[in-house]
Amino acid sequence: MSRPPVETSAERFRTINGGRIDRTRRLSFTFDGKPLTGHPGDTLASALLASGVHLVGRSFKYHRPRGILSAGSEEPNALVTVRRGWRRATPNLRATEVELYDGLVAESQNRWPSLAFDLASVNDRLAPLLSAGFYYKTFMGPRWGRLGANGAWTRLYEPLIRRMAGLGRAPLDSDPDRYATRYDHCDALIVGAGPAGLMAALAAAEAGLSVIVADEQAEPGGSLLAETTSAVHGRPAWTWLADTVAQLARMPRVRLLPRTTAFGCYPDHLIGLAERLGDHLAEVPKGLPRERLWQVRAREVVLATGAIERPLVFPGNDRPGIMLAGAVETYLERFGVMAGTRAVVVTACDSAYPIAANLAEHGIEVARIVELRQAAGEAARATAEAARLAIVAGAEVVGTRGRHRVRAAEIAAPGDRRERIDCDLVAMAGGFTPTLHLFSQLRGQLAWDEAAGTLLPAAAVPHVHVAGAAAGRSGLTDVLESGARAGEAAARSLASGGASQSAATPTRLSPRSATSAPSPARRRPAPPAGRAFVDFQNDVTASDLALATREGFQAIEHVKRYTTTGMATDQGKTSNVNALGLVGGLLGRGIDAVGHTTFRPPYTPVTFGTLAGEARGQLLDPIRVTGIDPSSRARGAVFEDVGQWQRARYFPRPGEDMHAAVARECRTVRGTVGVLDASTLGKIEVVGPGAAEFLDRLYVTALASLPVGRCRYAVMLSEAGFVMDDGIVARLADDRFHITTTTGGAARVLAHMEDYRQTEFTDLVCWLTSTTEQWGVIAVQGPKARDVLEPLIEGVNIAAGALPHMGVAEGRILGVPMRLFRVSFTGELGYEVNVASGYARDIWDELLARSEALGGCPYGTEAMHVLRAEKGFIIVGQESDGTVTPGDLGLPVGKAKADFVGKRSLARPDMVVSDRPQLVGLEVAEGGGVLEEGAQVTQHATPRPGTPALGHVTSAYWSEALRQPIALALVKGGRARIGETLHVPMPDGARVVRVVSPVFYDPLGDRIDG
Amino acid sequence: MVDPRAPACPVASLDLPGNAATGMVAAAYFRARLSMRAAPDAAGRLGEPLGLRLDGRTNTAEISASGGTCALRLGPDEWLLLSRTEPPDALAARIAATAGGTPHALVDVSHRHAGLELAGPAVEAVLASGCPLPLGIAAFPPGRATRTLLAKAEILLWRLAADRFHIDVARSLAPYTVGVLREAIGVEVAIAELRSGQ
Repeated sequence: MSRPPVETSAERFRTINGGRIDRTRRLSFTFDGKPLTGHPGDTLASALLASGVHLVGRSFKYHRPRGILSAGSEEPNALVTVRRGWRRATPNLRATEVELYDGLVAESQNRWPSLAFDLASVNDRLAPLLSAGFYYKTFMGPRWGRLGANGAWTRLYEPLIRRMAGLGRAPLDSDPDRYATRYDHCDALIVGAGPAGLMAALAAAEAGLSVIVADEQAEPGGSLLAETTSAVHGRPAWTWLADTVAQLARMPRVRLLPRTTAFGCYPDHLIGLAERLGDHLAEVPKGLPRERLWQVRAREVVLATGAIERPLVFPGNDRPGIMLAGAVETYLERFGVMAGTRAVVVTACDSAYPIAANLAEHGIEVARIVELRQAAGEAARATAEAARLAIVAGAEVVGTRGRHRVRAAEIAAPGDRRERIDCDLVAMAGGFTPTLHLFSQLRGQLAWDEAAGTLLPAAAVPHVHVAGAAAGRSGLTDVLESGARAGEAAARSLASGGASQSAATPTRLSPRSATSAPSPARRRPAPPAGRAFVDFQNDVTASDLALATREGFQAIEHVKRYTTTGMATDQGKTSNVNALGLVGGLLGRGIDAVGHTTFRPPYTPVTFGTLAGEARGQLLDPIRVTGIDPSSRARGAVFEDVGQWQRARYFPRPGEDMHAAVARECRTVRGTVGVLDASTLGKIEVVGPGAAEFLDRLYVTALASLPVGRCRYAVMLSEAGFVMDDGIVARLADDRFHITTTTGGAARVLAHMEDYRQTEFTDLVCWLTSTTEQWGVIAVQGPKARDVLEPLIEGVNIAAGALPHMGVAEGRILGVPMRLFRVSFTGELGYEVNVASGYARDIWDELLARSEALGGCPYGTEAMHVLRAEKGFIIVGQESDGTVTPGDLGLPVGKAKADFVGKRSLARPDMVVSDRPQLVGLEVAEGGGVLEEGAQVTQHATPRPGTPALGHVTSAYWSEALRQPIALALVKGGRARIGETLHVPMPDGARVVRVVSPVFYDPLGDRIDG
Repeated sequence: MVDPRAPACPVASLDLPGNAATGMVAAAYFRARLSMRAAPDAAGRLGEPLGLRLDGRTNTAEISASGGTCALRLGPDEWLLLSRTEPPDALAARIAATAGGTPHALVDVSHRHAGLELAGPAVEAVLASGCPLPLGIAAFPPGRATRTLLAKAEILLWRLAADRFHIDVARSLAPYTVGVLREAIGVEVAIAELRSGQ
């Protein structure tokens, strides 16, 4: 890489040696435009700390300066935006998880004009006004005219608050990246590749299981990555780690997925994994997906998810430079970074002592260990004494100083001896919270364990095995052992179908509490004075929680919503247990009685891109086209979406708008002939000795008596008696029917029919086969329809009188087998030609050519709609909406039929009242224009507010045949109102309409025979 | 006249994706597809004239001794009969001739689906991008055939060999399915290149 050499001294806080960074290579990056350097293996956070940058963000509400709290995915403070080129900006990334690459561009968020000088930090001074629930208390009224009480909120307060409070800005451009999806299956999914996870993977793999190990970090190892002194199985930790990873990589049935977060568990062990493939690369290969969603079905799940260290709640605990003790050690050991030069270690837990000694050994002066308990454990004290560290026990931190970086900690020792200790680093050790989000999502119950000072699994869950620190284990030996046992237990459970579960996981785990702090509730009966932050990301303080309990909130879920604690993008990973402890103390009940809030997925934020996968652009949803589609496109048809189908809506000629084209198409069909691509109609073939009886029971229409060679218009009801679908039922043979459904209803109708066939009408032998896509359908409609077809077909006589209206016959057209239906959705003489889809385009082209030679034209769905509305033919889903009976639509219901699906419901009292909505036609008075579909129908032109409408307009068109606008409407008691004058209010004034019969054109049906 | 022996191929106009190291998509033509329904115990008699026993497990394929006809058993009472050469009406006539009074349904669905063949070393991974079934060789060996999903399309998936699958998909969903396969092949190629570059 040919970059100018950078002064090594730039990384002033980098140790001389050590860490898992590649010191032979130097990477350049910028933070808020400032050029900085780091090394491969760094995270953005470790590289910033190496250069002494602690101020990295502003808090959500108060805009307080914030630094880096942690070294992992739990980070609440250090949220940054990473830019890549001009189109890619990813906001709200945790700097502790962003892997450094050469040329990385990172920016701080939620500050203006700059991170160091942020005008909105005035919020911090206003903090007393911005307590919990201040939104609810403050932003009420005044009423703004028509907007009402909510007006001020939607127009003023919310936009303002959104600008003031917040996170990074989402990019406005469409996402240029590719995202992938992947389904997978394994015997054991192991979440976490720390010491426990790796041991579990080895044990499970050696037992012959197929294993997936998912770990959120760039390299496997978990806590081992910061482990330089311990030995594992007689080898240095890092040697054992490398050996073990290599061993697993050689096993063909083991897959190690780094940079992969198991973010949620769903029913039946479906685990969602988000794999980051490209974000860590300086140059992303073209075509590489940025992220990939894995949906893994795992027979056994091992949760080796580790534990998260808790901060301590003391006034001013949020300044940059105040960090988790474990994180301070991780930066030192894994990244070779000293997070400060003079540290105060604040602890309620023995785990801080070896860390303090280690810091001192590496040259970080440990000014004081502030022990919140009366005394530390024996071993801990010995460690501190050996390192000659000063401890003040039974003390507390009462405040901190420093604006952009902590400068001093103020402590109160027993006897109220106050002391101010200068420092540039405060390391907090508040105990560990096992990461049990996924366990909870797998229906595992958690219970407070006083000895461990945290929530732990209360009972075993079949096929779920919790290992290592997640199970409350501590100490490397114990964690490794627990991992191996979990792997073995998974193998046993798999072999026994879950029977050995209870033996594998004791119902009550007995954790060793050596590194865990006592319950926060015990430790601190009252919240500290001053602003002590519990939830750093949402700026919730201990006094906010106190206020909530004073105001009567007792349930933890209510406290959470009122104060927003635990509701930020970090989901309260570092704050929840502290909040539970404080609320428990404030309410004077045990933390176990407080319970805990729900662990909802995702564990860490997942991008929309990952969830969408390939489903975008052309692949967002299937776009279905018919075989005739290329011909229609070649003719310049304008298309409309009908469900997933694209249908030709109209075929404009040069200079024509939609209105002109549709009017011409209507005139041509009524005057000459038109052809329509009706291939999208749903089709089902019903075959078997019981087919006739089966259809008779399903449809309102009598079908058992339908002769071979004839069709009937048939209506299907739901069990509730409402119109569900309609179509044509044609009898091809005694035991064979060809039925059609609406385009959108095909799948639903087939499922409905299968349901009855398999569960209700099991006495009937018949089968259903979807033939929607087997047949291309071309409707030939108009007075010259017969002239178009006659010379092209053979085997069917369609001479006048030979094939009557609603007749069906099989024959050939242009040499291709055909099913010919004489049906009409236009009121004109009409045929529907069905040919196998592979021939549809050729036949269409021929029929169209012949039609045009006779003066005809192709027509689209819009003209079809107009033509059918002129005849009062309904469209299911337009004239009906799931609450409409056949009677409402004026469709005959045979009294003679003993039964059919929905018949009983038609007799319910509400179904037979006389003022049900009924289908009528509306004629618009002179000059009124076409009504709006969906417009309401009212008695008066300007009804008083609160007056119910009489009905609504279901279809409205310009009728070219009548040279006037027409509409169909559902109007209360409509048929008795024929002749009445009603009104249709529209945005620009009410129209006067006259109620008429829904059949506008050719009411006697004379035209059907040409 | 239109030649009934030369129907339009539903994938003819599509640009079929392929990568030799991953997976290649090709059109796979069947002249006849017949959906046959019958009671399980009656099926053997119906299959006889085709040289098919029709007694295999649900979701398995049976190929006639002559190799001319195959039957995919898609349900306890459902078979999809396939022939690359024989026209559907001839196939149906052979069954009907010996069926006697055995209740059954035969429906010509030759044009309902488009056939695709996916072959290559990474076929399992390509399909796993959108198919939720376990597709490993043990769980889904050659000869297994089932209806399933590929992303948002219902497909019929039939494993012909370790590295070869037949996909039947509703005609109108062929462009979408090919698009999903193109995307999946592209992803596998890109990830393989990333891994080999590391």
